[in-house]
Parts: sequence; C-alpha cells; structure tokens
Amino acid sequence: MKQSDRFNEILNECLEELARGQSIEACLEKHPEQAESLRPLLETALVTRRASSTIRPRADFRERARLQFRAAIRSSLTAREPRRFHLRFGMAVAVALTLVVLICGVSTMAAASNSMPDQPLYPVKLASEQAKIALASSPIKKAEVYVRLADLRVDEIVYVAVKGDPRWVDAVAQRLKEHLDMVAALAATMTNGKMAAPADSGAFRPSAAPTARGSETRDRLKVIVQQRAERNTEKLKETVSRVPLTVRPSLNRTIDQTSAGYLRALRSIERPPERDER
Amino acid sequence: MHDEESLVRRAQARDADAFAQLYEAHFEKVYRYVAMRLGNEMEAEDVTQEVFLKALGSISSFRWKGVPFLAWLYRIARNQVIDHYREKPKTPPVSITGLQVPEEGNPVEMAEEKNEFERIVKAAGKLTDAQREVIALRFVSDLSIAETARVMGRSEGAVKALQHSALTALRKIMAAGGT
Repeated sequence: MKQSDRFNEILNECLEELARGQSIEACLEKHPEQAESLRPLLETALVTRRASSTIRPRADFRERARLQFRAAIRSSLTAREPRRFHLRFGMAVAVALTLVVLICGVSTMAAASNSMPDQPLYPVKLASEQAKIALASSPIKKAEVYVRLADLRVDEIVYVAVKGDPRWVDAVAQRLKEHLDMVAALAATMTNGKMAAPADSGAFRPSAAPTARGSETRDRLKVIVQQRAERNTEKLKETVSRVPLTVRPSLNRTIDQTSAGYLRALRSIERPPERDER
Repeated sequence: MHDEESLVRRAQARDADAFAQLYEAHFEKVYRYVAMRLGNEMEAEDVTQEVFLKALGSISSFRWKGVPFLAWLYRIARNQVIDHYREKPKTPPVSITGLQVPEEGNPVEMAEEKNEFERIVKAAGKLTDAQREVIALRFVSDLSIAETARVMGRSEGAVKALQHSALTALRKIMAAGGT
C-alpha cells in the first residue's frame, strides 16, 4: 500500500471514530507518528460537523414546503384513482359548484370572475377557481388550470401595483408563486406526460417507459408555460415604469420571483423523473 | 433500516402517509446538504423543494438494495445542485443569507455555530466542486464512505483521497482567513 493510501486509511478510520463520539486525542494516541498531520484535519472535520448540525430551514419555508408537498402527493395519488372515483368526485364538485352558482346567482359569478383583489367579490372568484382545480381530472389538466390562474394573478398584480399598494402586490405575488410551484409539482409526478406507473404493493419495477403520446402531452404543457412565462414576465416589467416608487421594490421582487417560478416549472416539465441508476 | 424499507415499499404502493413520513424524516438533512452546497438560503429552499418533488415523481423507480433511501435522495439532490449551477453559473456559492438556527439551546452558542457554519460554507466555496461535495456528504450529511462513494459514483479509495485533499484545502483556506 502506498504511503498516501495508508494515511488516507488512517484519516478515515479516525473520522469514523469521531463520528461515533470518540475524541481527537484518543485517535491521535493510536497513531502518534501521524498525529501532527492528522490533528488539523480532524479538527476541521469536527468543526464542520458541529456547526452544520445547528442549521435548520426557516419555519415558514418548512410549513409552506410541507403543504406544497402534501398537495403534490394528493394530486399524484388522486390522478391514479380509478376513473369511477373521478366521476363520483367530479359529480360532487359539480353539485357544489351548482349550489354556489344558485346561491350567488349567475350574474354575481360573472361579476366575480372579473373582480380584483381589493373588491368584495374577489373571494367568490377564488372559490370558483378552487372548484375548477378540483374538477380537473388529471395532473396535466390541473397543471393547465394553474397556468391559466397564473395569468389572472399577473393581471391582478398589474392592477394593484398601478393602484399603489405594495401589500396587495406581495399577497397576490405569493399566490402566483404557489400556482407556479403547483405546476412544477404536478409536472414532477408525470413520466413523460403520463403519471408514473403505480408500483404494485411490494413489487419493485422501473418507471413506465416513455410513450409518444405522453411525450407530446409534456411538450404541449412546456410550450404553454414557455409562452406564458415570456408574456407575463414582460407584462410585469412593462408595468414598473407606471407604478408609484413605493411599489417598485415589491414589483421588482415579484418579477424575479415569477421568472424563477416559471423556470422551475419548465425545468420540472423538461426533465423526466430521476431513475434509479444504481 | 427495516422500517424505512417498509415505508419506501408503502410509498411505492401509493400510500400517502408513507410518503409524508419519508419527507418529514429526511427534509432537514436534504436541506442542510443543499444549503452547504449552494450557500444561499433562498436557492437552498427552492432546490430542496425540487428534490422532494422529483423523488415523488420517480419513487417507483427506486430499488431497495440495502443502501439507505436517503442516499438516493442525496443523489437526486446532487443532480439538482449540478443543474442549478448549470443554469445559474454566475451565482456565487458563498452568499449565505440568514441561515436559521433552532430556537432551543443557548442562543449565544447557537449564533456562534451559525457564524462558524457560514465561515465554513464561504471557505468551501473556494474548494473544487468534488471537494465541496465530499465535505457536504461526509461531514454535513454524515454519510459513510461507502454511501458517499455511491452518491458520487466513485470508488471508496477515491473518496478517501478526495476527503483528505478536501479537508487539507479547507483547513488552509480557513487558517489563512480566506473566508
């Protein structure tokens, strides 16, 4: 064994012992001839391990990420349920939607669909959007709904930004981010356009082979998102010069966040899921 | 390990609770690894989310071969980090912004540890990509040499040599105050 290989072995042995709670001194005693070279390396490893163990994700990010992941799980699993379930669920949502329309009235619903965040009917608009999402029967259709909702959010951001209220800009921008995150999440649950093949209980089999039709579906979503990304980012940029100075920081943040959101969505659509290469 | 294998099997069989449990068990570890690699809180958050969404979409392709599920997640995380750098090559890996420490414990000690971590991440930003990778996997994620070799696609001997060179370089940079 070469001398350098021998040292690498000893260093690794000491690192493993440190990881098991042994002290640096105990290790150096075993290897006095290498102690001088070993000590600084072991100290560096120890400091790195100790310092990194204190790092945590932000609480609000952790919560947001958890909610998004659970939503992605639900979308993924719902789309794998038998068609009959979809019909039953779709029927229930349709009935609920009909009731909302009956209660609110058709004219109210029509007015709500054009309402803006600072207007009284805006909550009705958001509720009807939730129904549209629930009615979408597959991840690809849900993703398309979210893409369309993102368009609406961009229009609303332009509206509230021009009116000069940065709080509204931030609030709607957060909703826009969530829509784009959902597009990314839904795309991640597809293998070349179709849902990942459900694994039979206990059986480990590779992902479904890509299909021409599945690939086309993914490509179609990609084109839609690409177009919207360019158009909506441009729309937001053009608005900057028309808004009060107090709103510009919020709007600029929104532009960056929106570009990043569309990019994440596109990245998720473009890349097929990871495969186990081991 | 047996429990995790059972969880993974259930997740592959479309059990939402199992998915959620795997997520909760590994979220923080993956975040910490990504934060070390990227050195930027916001980017670490985005990439961590992408890792789990990617894992959700491809869990049916995971095959249990005695290697922890976490090693598979790290492999996805590693690829996501590489892709991230490919798309944003100009983002410096050293711009730490407000990484969080837990609220429990001695606040002064925690603040010191956080500063120390930021110093390490900055110093690690001057290492080669492979050196930074081995530091993150071995001393931030606590993977064994065998697991690290799996994630990096190298032999155990190569990883031991890389570990040596990475610690030596990191030590030198930190001693020179080059952080």
